[in-house]
Amino acid sequence: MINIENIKSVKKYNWDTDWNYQVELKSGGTSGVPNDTNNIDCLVVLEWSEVDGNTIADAD
Amino acid sequence: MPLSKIQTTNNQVVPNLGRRNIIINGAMQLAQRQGGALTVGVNNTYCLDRWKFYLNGSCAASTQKLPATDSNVSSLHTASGQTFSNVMSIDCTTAATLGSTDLLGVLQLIEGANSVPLAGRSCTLSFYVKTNVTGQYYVTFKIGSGRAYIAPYTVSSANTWEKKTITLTMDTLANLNTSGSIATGAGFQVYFGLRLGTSSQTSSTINAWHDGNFYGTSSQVTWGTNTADTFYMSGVQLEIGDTATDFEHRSFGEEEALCQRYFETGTFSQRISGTLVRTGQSYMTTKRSTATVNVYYDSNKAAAGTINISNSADAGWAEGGNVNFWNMEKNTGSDHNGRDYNGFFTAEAEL
Repeated sequence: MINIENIKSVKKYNWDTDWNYQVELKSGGTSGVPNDTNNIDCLVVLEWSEVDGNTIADAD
Repeated sequence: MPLSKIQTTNNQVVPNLGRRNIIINGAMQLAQRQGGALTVGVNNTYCLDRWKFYLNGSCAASTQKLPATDSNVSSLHTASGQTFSNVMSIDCTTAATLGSTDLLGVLQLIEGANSVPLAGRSCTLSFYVKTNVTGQYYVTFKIGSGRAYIAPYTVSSANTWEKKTITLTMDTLANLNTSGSIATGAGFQVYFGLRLGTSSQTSSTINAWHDGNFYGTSSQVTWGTNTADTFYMSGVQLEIGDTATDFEHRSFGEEEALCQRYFETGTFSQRISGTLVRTGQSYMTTKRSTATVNVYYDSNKAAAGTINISNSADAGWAEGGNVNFWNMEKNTGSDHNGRDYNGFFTAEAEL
């Protein structure tokens, strides 16, 4: 489970027909979180994105 | 087995056996994340498989899957009359007086579809517990933050295994659907509390369903005021009916597959060519939902997104997948013909 306090940045990643979140963690490393609100980490990412100053970067 | 559990079907005597336990990993056999290591408990994270640790306040504790050779496991054999392989331990590492917002406990979230058969039915929770802190504890059955049923139990003797049994009527299907899930989301939650500050206490009647987000009353004993405090638990079973039957020992493979629906870890080893590389593999078990995927260089799982390519750490891998498989992708920028790709992965689809 991703701790919201441990999220450094988030960007979308294209997988051809779909995309997900690549979450850079303050503790190091990058976690692949699905764009699926049934996934509890996705809910954490969306909660993080609603905090002022936090932005989800578009896919490259 | 009591005579009341013997059922008659078409003049055949059929014992009420098999597939009774709704709890997964009730015998504490699996700890894919931490193995057998004593591990610092972090709030709202999973420790042993399917068991989530809750911690708020100044108290701190570690959790561990104790092995069969541990004296706390062997003593359970004598107390229960059954042979268990493992026990969950919670050890206090930082003692603290009780704060108003304190919470400490472990819980299991039961998937909505698995909760449905219990809705409106008489159900029985049974478990074995051993702690040095005697007094009144609570097990709380919760549906999201909207509904709660607070059931007390008392630990009578210090450092002695005791079997506890709680029988209740589960909440209605309508309430389960409104406050929880009847599909792949979280249905019921079974919460075992060790500390409880005033902000999560209720004065409502216990042993009844109420609206609200409560975990117990002011009668909850405060565990964790001494670093010598320990709490051991195993043989957790929740079943339909008003009688606690003997613990249902499922095979390890069955239990492992049940856990892997929510969390799976494994290794990969492939030989790959090309510059824009995408690879991955199928899960052993289909996941509850699309999983969070991490790939790692080695078993330490230090930093996700880094794998082992020909014995060198290679960072910058994007991770993805669905309910059936995980994959990873990277434009390596160079020809990787015939390179060996190795590493570890985790896939998490917990409730």
